[in-house]
Amino acid sequence: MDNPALEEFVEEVEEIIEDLEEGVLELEAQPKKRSLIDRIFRDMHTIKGGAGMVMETELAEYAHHFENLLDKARNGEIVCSPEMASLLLSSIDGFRSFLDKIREGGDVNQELIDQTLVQLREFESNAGKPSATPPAGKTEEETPVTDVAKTEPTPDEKIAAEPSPPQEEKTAESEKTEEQGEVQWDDEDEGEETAYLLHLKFDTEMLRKGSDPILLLKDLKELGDLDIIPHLGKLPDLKNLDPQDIYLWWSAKLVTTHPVEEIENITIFFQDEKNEVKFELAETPPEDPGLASFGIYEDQENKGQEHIQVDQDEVDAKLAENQAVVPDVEVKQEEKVAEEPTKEISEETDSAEEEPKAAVTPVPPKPPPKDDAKKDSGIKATQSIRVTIDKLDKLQNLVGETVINQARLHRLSDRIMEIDVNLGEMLLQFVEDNEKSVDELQEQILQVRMIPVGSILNNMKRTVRDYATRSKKKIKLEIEGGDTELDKTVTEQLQGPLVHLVRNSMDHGIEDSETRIKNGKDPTGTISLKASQQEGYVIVEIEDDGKGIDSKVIFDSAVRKGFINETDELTEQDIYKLLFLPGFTTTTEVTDVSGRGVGMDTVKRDIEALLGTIELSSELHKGTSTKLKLPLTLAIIEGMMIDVGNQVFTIPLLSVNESLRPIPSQIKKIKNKGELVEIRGEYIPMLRLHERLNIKPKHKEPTEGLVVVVQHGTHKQCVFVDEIVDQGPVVIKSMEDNFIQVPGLAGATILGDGRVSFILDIASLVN
Amino acid sequence: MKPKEKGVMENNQSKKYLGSVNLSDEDLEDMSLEVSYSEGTRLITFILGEEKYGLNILKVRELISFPEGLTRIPGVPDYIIGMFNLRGLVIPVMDLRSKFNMSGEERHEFSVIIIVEVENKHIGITVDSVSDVIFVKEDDIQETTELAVNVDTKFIKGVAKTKDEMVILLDIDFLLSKEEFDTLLAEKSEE
Repeated sequence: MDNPALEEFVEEVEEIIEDLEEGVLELEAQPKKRSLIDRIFRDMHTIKGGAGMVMETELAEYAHHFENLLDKARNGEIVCSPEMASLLLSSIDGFRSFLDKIREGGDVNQELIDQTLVQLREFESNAGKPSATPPAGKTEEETPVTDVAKTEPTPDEKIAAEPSPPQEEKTAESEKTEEQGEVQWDDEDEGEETAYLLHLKFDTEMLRKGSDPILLLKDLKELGDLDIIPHLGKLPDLKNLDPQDIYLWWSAKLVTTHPVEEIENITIFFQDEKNEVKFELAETPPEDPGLASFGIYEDQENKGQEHIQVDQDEVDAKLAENQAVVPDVEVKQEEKVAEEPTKEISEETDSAEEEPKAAVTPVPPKPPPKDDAKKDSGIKATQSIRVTIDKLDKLQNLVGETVINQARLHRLSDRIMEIDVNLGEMLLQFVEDNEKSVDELQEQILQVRMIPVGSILNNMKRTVRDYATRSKKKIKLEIEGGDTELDKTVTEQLQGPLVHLVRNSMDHGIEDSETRIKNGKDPTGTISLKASQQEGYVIVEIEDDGKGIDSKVIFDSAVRKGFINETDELTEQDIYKLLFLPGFTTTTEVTDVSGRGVGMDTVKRDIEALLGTIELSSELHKGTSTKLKLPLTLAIIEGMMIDVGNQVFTIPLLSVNESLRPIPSQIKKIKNKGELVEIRGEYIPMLRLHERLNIKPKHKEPTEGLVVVVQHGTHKQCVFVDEIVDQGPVVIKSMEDNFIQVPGLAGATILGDGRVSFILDIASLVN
Repeated sequence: MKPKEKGVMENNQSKKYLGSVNLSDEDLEDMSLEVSYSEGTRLITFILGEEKYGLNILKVRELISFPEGLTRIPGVPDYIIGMFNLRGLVIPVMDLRSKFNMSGEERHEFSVIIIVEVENKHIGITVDSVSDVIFVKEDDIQETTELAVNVDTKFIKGVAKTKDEMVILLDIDFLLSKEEFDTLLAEKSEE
């Protein structure tokens, strides 16, 4: 993909899709939430628009179909049923397929696209006819089963194709509401969203004074949905137009969950005798006839005065609906009003003197909860740019180099000091000042690579939803600590293992509702994902309140498979570790979700590749908890530098248990098993590192050198080295970047003196 | 390629203003030579043992003197003499003398490391000394593998003959390819 515009488009759509997915999942839970439908509609619309811009017409057309559907939802013609949510989710899979096509070339998964469109059509035609036969099965008949199997359909397709009876009920329900034409949006009932009408007229000279109405509009836009209508009435001919004058004025409708004070805070800067910045509570509910009825289009005829006619029936309806919403605006009521509530709101647009009276602050019925506002309006716009990870890597390399040069400078200043104390002092001063900046630089560049782990935790929502819909288990997902930050690479590579663990919990952990009720549990099972930062590591815990794992079953199964002997005595913890052995599985049946026996060992390997550790604990009938401990970043680890025959190697500190100089009686030689070191009653096999690496050591006997006890998983190993040189953070460089992977080495790093040191691969040393 | 363009342009101009420009035979010969240079390669030449070798200059990233500290890589053959830090990159160095089983002292004061880029990897090769940058025409390159040199012919692309010397063209892409590197580990375990 060489086209930068296309590249940007793909990245943008990826982000939108994520938002879309999240939005649909939320909408499924709160189908009558106006702001959610609006958000999804906007997302869909943006995709369509963007696709059109980059000439991806097929994609634009695809998005267009779903936009239509959402438009109907927006107009209250249909209410989002689980079926519709499934449909929207499969559209997301469709979009992903388009993106793959754009990114890698090749073909879009036409089967998937067609299938979703067929489903969409069926859904729409059914939604139009309440008595229509349910669409169940029809799609499946059209699509040969073999084809479905071949293409491995996403769960959504299946769900969408076989709606369950309750879903139909809901659809019917929605049709009923449609007929009556009064969808009640939850947002209104909850009083979360309030609509304001704004009237924005500015001093013609304003731009010359360095102010700009756009700023106000932008700020307002951040508060919520802003519909802006410009009034062009005063716009002169082009030849009379002074580019520095303001000829336009604006009417706008703001639908926001923010309290009224925030609007005040924004508008206050524009309140002066020459500007007319007013706002009032809209009497109309958020999506009523809209601005047209507000009279703005009449503007050009009634230049001096504006009469805003509100439709009588409408006012009737509104008054009946909620008396409290009638705002405290300047209302000139005609005498008949008492019987015939036709209202006339007059605004003296041209006379500045009357302005203060007109600018009345309405009091919303009840202050909307702030938390909700935050959640719904999505991420606050922060200034950001996109940078490829490649560039960051290069930057990080450069910073690493600077750090090393800093160390060199330090040594140089020491040497100069020996020759010329004054000069040396001056240089040292400079070097020390510089060091602070360099340290800061290094820290900042690492910070840049960090992204919140929440992005992948939230992806699990879809996984859980899809599974729950299919399996008829009731599962709730709780997410905590999504703002915990982790290196981008680590975060990305965590996704696979996480999906695996969550699926395990759903499949093997959570029982079906009946069993849960029988056992006195909440019929809805809970899986919680918690992320937190602890001592330079990120801990991710996956916990379920399912049936737990019977350690006896594991033990028996392990004996049967020959992993252990019946006579072996294992602690509870050791037994759970057996689950991570390759080829170990407790389930006899193989479901399509998990249970193929390639589960936990893969997870463990993936986590270890990220230099992390995994621990599992379980309590029978209570639940299972898996704890992942991950380094904050892959690029830097704490290392222990050891010396063997004057060559310095680095051991990841995460793997080091302890180090000691053994006394002769601690060392035992056993035939066929090599040397063992006895440490507090435990016999640990010893490896002479110099022999393995083929280096001539300084010390021939462990009693003269040092023994570092390393651990990989459950295996411990003593590593005999000459001495420990240093300890500290090291930047990991891949051997493969410029060479090949060498067995026994996990990578390389550059030491303070600029030399290369190899990082030992503990896993291969231990086994 | 600059020289070629220049040659072409001057040639055109000379046609245009033929009457007013005086060109010696020598000049014309030079120009025609430059034009014919369009098909060819620019080589960096270096000495290794008794022979002169050439390497496509587009493969060369830089020339450096022998680094202070090379770290030996355990588990690979000795002709990979180690890795060093080149401005934050960790780069392996291959000693060509020992790779080609040449005798003689391993390095001296003129020893140079040529950093080449092959398959996006930066790798250093040690040579006795770097001599020149030359241009050879396509026609002057013989793709012969039947050579009386003591280098394994699979690493040799051919021979370029210039006015007064013969340059052996090294097949650097093959010498430093991933396939070739992967045999390193097998080689070592056989030892």
